[in-house]
Parts: sequence; C-alpha cells; structure tokens
Amino acid sequence: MGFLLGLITMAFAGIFLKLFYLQILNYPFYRSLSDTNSLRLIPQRAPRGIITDRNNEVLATNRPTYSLFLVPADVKAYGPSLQKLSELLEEPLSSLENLVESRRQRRKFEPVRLQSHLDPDLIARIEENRVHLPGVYIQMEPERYYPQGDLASHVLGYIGEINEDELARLRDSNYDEGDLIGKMGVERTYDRALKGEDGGVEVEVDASGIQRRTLAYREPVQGQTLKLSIDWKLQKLAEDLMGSQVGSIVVSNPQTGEVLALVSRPNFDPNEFVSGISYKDWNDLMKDKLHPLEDRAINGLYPPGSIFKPITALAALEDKVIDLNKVFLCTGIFWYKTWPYRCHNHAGHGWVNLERAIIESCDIFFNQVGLLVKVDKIYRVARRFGLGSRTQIDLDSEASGLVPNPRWKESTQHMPWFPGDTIHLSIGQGYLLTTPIQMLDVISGLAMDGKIFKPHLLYRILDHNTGRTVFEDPPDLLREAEIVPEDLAFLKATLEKVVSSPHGTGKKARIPGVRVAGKTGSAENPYGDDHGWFMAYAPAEDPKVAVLVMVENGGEGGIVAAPIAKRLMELELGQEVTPMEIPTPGTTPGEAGTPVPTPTAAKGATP
Amino acid sequence: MKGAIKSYLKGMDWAVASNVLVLSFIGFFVVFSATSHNFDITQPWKRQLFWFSISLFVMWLFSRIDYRFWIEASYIFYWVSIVSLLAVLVVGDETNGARRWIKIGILSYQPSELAKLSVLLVLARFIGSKTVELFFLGRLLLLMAMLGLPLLLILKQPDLGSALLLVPVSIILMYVGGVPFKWLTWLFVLGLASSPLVWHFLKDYQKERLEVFINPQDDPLGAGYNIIQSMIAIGSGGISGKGYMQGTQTQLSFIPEHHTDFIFSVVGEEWGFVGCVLILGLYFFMIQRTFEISRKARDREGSLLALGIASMFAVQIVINVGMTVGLLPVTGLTLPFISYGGSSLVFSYAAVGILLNISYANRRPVLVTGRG
Repeated sequence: MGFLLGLITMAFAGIFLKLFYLQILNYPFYRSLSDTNSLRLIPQRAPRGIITDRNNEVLATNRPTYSLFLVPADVKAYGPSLQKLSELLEEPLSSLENLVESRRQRRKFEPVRLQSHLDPDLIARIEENRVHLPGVYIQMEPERYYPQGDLASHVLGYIGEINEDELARLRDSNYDEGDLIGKMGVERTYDRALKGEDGGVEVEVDASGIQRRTLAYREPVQGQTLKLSIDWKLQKLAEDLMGSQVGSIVVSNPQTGEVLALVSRPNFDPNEFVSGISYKDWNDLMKDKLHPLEDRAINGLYPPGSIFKPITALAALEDKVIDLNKVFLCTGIFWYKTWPYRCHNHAGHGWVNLERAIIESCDIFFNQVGLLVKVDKIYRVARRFGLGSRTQIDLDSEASGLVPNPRWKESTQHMPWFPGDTIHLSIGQGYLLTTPIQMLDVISGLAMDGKIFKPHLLYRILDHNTGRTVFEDPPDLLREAEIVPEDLAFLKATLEKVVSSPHGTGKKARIPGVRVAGKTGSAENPYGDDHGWFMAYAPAEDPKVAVLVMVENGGEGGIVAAPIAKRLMELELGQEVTPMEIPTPGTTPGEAGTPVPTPTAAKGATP
Repeated sequence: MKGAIKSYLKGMDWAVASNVLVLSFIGFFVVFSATSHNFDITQPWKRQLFWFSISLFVMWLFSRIDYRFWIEASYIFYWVSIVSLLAVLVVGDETNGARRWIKIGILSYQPSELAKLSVLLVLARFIGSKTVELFFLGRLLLLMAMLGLPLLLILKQPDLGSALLLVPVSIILMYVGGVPFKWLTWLFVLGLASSPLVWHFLKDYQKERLEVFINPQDDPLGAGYNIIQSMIAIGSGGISGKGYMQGTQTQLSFIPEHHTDFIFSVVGEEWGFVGCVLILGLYFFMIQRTFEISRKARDREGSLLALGIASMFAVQIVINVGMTVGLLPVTGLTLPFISYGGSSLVFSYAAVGILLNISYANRRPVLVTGRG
C-alpha cells in the first residue's frame, strides 16, 4: 500500500511540475498568447439544407451574401474607428456605441453581424479604410433564398433569428444565440435536419485587432436535403387557379397521406424574412386584416356547410332513422315551430330522398333528418373521421376545430342543446368548425373506405453530400373510421352522381372518361358571402388524388371551387388541363344559403 | 434523537467529508464562471445545486448503511449494471457518436457510473473473501471474464475514459489482494498484445485524440485544439490567476466542454498556480485519508473496497488533470466533485458515503450489527 501511495504521490508531483512549468516558468509566453496576439474564433454559418419538391424542383436554397462583422473586444469604444464605421454604414454613432458597450462584459470576443447584403461599393470603401477599422471584417456567408418567391410559402415557412423562448426550449441541443431557425412551415418542423453544422476559422489578431494569419479552419457542414411530397407543377397550378381569391387548397394522395399541393391565400414572400424583416414590413403583415402569415389550410376554422352532409347521412343511416326510400317535401322553406329555414333552392326540390338530397344538396331534407337523428350520433361519426382533432400534419400550430355536442354546449355556453342546434349541425352550420385539411381527411377517408392516412409534407430526407436517403416517412394509417359497408357503397355512388348527374351541384368538376366523386358546399358565415367548398376524389374505382378547395366568401362551392378541383385532378391524373379564366373576387356572387334569418342565426339558439 | 445525531456526527470521518464538501463548494463557483457567458446564465449551476443536494442525501444514506450490505449484494449490482450497459447501447441517447445516457423522464443517467462502483464491489468481494485461491489460474480467468464483460460494453458505447479508469483500479486491487506479480506481468503483456484489437474498437475521433496527443500541433482546430487552448488558459493564469470570472480563454469559449471535462483549465486560468495547488492538495489529502481508512478497516473486503475507491478517485483525478495540462490524452473523464454533471456527482458521493461507513465501522463497532 505504501508502494501505491508512492505511485499516486509521484503522479501528483508530475502534475505539480507541469503546472509549475506552464504557470510560472512559461507564464509570459502563455500570457502573451492569451492577451496580445489573441486568437479569435470566427464562426462560419453552415448553409441550410436544400428543400425540393418530389421531383427535385428546388423550392429553397442558399445564395452568397457579404456581411459585415465586428468583434466588440477589438473595437476601441468612442475612438475614431466607430466614427468612421458610422459614416460608412450611415448608421448613428450612438447605436454602434451601445452595441459595443453591451458586449463589453459578455461574449465580447464573439463577432456581431452588423449588416448583410453589402453592396460592392460599400465593400470597396470598407477595404480602403481597413487600417482605421480594427475588429471589423467582411465575410461571405450563405443566405437562404427561395427562388420561387411566394410559391408554397405556407408549406416552406420562413426563418429568423432564434429568440429567447426557442433558446430556452432547445437548451440541450446544438443551438446558440444569433442562430437562424425555422419559424414556420417545414423550415420549422425540420429545422434540426436543415440546420447543418457551423464551422469556423481560428485567426490570430494583432494588438490593433487586425487579423494577421489563419491558424485553423473547420469547414461548415451543409444541412440535409429535404424532399417534400409537394408536386411543384400541381402547386403552381393550384396557386394560379386561386388567383387573388382568399382561401385554401389542399391536394393529397389518399392512399399514402402525401400532400401534393397546399395553398393558403393571401400568402407572403419568405425571402423578406431572411435577413431580418424591416419593422414596417412586419407591421404591414401583422396589420393586414387577411393575416397573410396564417396558414388557412391547417389553421383556418370554418363552418363546412354542405360538405358535412355525407357525415349526417352516415349518422342517420346508422341510426336507422331514415332509409334510402324515405322522402321529405322541400318547398324551399321549412318551418320548425315559428322558425323558418330556407333551402338554397328557393323554388324547392319537391319530394326528395337521401340520394337526391345529396346530389342536389337539399338543405331542407337534412334539416328534417336533423330533427330525427340523435346529435350524439352525428358527433360520433364526425369524430370518427377526425373532425375536432388535429390531423397531425407535419406543420406547426394546427387548429383542432370543434364538433359540438350537448355536453360541450352546456359546459361552455351554459345553455341546453336545442333541436335547432341539430338542425344547423346537420347541414354543417352552427357551432361546427373545421379546417380545410380536416375536410380533406374526411373525403380521403370516404375514398379509402374509412382509412385515413396522416397527411404529411415530408417525402424524404437526403444526405447533402451523398444524396442518399437517410430518412423516409412511411404512410401512417392514423384512423380507420368504421362505416357500414352498404351505407358507404351508397354514399360513394351518390357522391359520383353529384358530379355526373345533370342536376348535380358538382357538375363543373366533371372530367370526361374519369369517374369523379365529390361534394359541394356553400357555408353561411357572419363575414359576408358564403364560403365556397368543394371536396373530391378520383378516379372513384381506385382513388389516386383527393382535393379540397375552399374559397372564403366566394359564393357557391359548385361554381367557385369545383372548377379549380377539376383542373387539379386533371393534371394529377395525366389528363389535359382545361383552360380557365382566373376568377377575381366578386364576380361570382353566391346565392343565399341556409337558415334564413340574419347570418348570426347560425350561432343563435332555436328551441 | 439529538443524542443519535450527535453521536453520528461525532463518528463521522470529518477529514474526508469536509474535504469533498469544500471541493464541491469550489466546484459551484467554477461551474458558474465557466457557464456564465452562456445564454441561460443560471441553469447549469442551478442544476448542479439540485444534484448536490441529492448527493448529500445519498452520502448520508450510504454512510448509514453497513458497507457489508453492498459487498453481499455486489453480484446483484453487477448484473444490474451489465443490463443497463446493454440497455444504453440499444435505447441510449446519442451525442457525438457515443451512446452513454439513458433518459428517464427529464433525468439522464449514465450506466457506466454504476458499472464503476459495482465492479469495485465485486472485486472487493471476490478478492477479499479468504476462501478464494487466487493463485489458481481458473479463478483468475473467471475474474478476468467478470471484468472483461463490463469493460467491453463500456468500450462499445464508447466511453474510453471510464474503461481506462477500470483497468488500473482492477490491477491495483488484484495486486493488493495477493495475485502474484508474475500473473500481473503476464496480464500486462497480454494487454499490450491485445491493444491493436482495442485500437480497432475505438471510434475515429478517439484514435484522432490519441494521435493528436502525440503531436497536438497537427490539428489545432480539431482534437489538438482542446489541449493547446487548455494549456494556454492554464499557463496564462500565472501564479495568482486572472481573477474569478475574468478568464479570457474561458469566457471566450475557446475551451470546449469547459464546465465538464476541461473544468480544471478554468481553475488554472482564473485561480492560477495557487488555486491549482490548493485543489490538488485537497484531493491528495482526501486520497491519503482514504488509504488510512483502508488500512484500519475491520475486514479485508472493507479494506479492499476503500482502497478501490481511493484508487478510482486518484486515477480519475490524475487522468483528468493530466489531460488539461497536456500530460495525458483527451479521454473524456470528469473531475470528481468539481465538474458539472449529475450522475458523476451522485456516484462520487455514494462512494464517499461507503467510505464514511467503512471508517465508522473501525471506530464504532457498536453501531455495526454484523452482516447487513
């Protein structure tokens, strides 16, 4: 044991001697290394990963920009150098002084980015004044660039400097102050993959803060390539067809959940955010009453109107309150006690059965069904299709919507559930709120006999260097809505007739030689004209594409939305796309919708 | 009750206990300084404080449990640690290409820490039981297998530091336990012969570290960078240091992992030669006391266990400090009681708790009620 203690003593003595050597004998040498000829780590930003569509069309990439940096520790505050710099940059001296002062204590050796997008003229003038500007240097760095401008802006999202909340949340990960981070869209969802690894140079600077020589270099590693399921051509067509109308379009493959196009209007240009959006631009975006940054496809809450009728139909059939032969008389107006409900067809449909009520979208038939069917049945069928829950698409801040039931109304509105509430619900009005992507799930579920795959935008993640797939998102069967097979068969056949029948409301979605199934909707809302809805899938025998189109205050879905859906399906199914005049708002005034009283009646109570 | 506490405190080996408490106390300040330039200025030292309070409880608990209990249950711990070492390879969190952590809720736990302690216990029991005839080759091979299994699993993670720690500690215990010098020499030769195999096991970055150690100027931004920066930091501290929170190298983030593996560089830069010698002195005193506890232990197992703990601390300190001053390669071992890190702190204090109990047993045989 004495031998052991001796060994340990010797080891400690060795360390002691080395410390003596470093700290006492060679102190001046190391001190000068740490003080005068200081080493500086100049970080170099890694290029973000490239984002492409499914066919390698580039949606987001990088381009070089020249940026001006300043190392606070190397700048003599209040000296002539800051004065010079403020003249060159045309920035007030006081703001530069404040910046340097604020970094006197903390991170004073870390460069601060003063300006990006330096123009060649400014670069030349800075280089001329190099000797007067210690601690200031120019570096080329990659900057995010969206070559398609505002195309698919809500899918891509935008990036910005990391904020305190995000830093706190990502404390344990590879994020640091000043980093850029995805704030929205896939830029946000897949930020970790896109981020890459920053590199840096180690340089020696002399006493006046001027870089003397480079000691070492670590190459930045570009982020991974994101391949989206979006099809650029389809996305482009959808954007064009939408024109300047407000609303959204979602197209997907119902067999996998892959989202092929996603449009939300109005949109924005993510390029504006890249090097910090100006205060004025940000204010304009925030004050815009149409909220361009909001992704209406996943976050817009709307009454679905008549495209909800398939769910009411399934509930009524399952509840056995009606059968396929049951007829109701539609005279254009229906009185429940003293409250009138009007059909969008003011002349009335006459005697209608369920099939005709769906094909011609008779409201009064469904109003009367609403008086028979139990509200909880409608609630349960709607929930089976995922209404009232997030679809779990890989985008942030998705809304979950609301499927009302008596329990909900009593606990939140402190009012009992009235039969009038069910009358509203049965035609997709009242308290019911859905997002466009949820309704896409409903039509996909019908197309796939109840199977609903999680909608997703990610197709693959590829390694930037090798191009090999490092991650693949397999189809994820999220729900299997139980539907009585006969009911489903009837409903699917009827949805085809919505498009193919001469009286069908969806006949503008007809494609020669292709069996298209769909449903139109015109949803009464308190903000103006009806919201025009259309949901569809094709070909009916083996659905390859599901479409949802929603035009805010656009009027009748069969007129504003169905023609858009038709062209998108044509393109996806390899047909020739019918030319179309791009509509502008106001040219297609919608006819009056469902319950007659003022639009607020949609929320009102009718006992 | 009061009397019990009094007698408990009186029976405590204050030299060891106060020593580690002082070291932990110093550790807070250094961790605070090392992380103060980070964005979230309060977090690491707050978490360190949280772990410290847990560690204090653990130390108290372990000092109250007869160490014979750990000896008796050593095989159970051994297999638990083998299972968790296997588990970490499957479900562990990956950082820098190594799987060392298991996440349980918000807590992460490092199985190699448990493995170190349980190997010590198993060794103390195996070598300490008088019936074992160590001269018998079969026995020795069994011992090798028992050591080899966790060692390979730790290397596989890979956690070179913990593996490097276990080898000398085991050799020390075998030597003290009476394994003939001849056998140990053979083992050494065997180990040397198999080192190419170990080299094969190592990850690229580890090979790089070893190569760079031989010539740090080769890769000044990569692995050699750490050593150079650490030496500059320590050297520039001089006799009395640059002052608390004034270390330019530290505050510059030139030193990577400066609140964990390279914390001694922060001490060197900010507290100077005086601070370094003070801390080394505290460590040395603690180790020397532990040898004393080992010498006076009631039985062979206790003696070996104390010796194992002492040599584990000693080797860990020497490897860590040796790395920061450029005497040894970068291996990724923390500095006990000072480095930031929950698992390491808790297990170090658990070991101290066991030490305290062994020293109790020598002084106050009344407290000990035979086998646990």
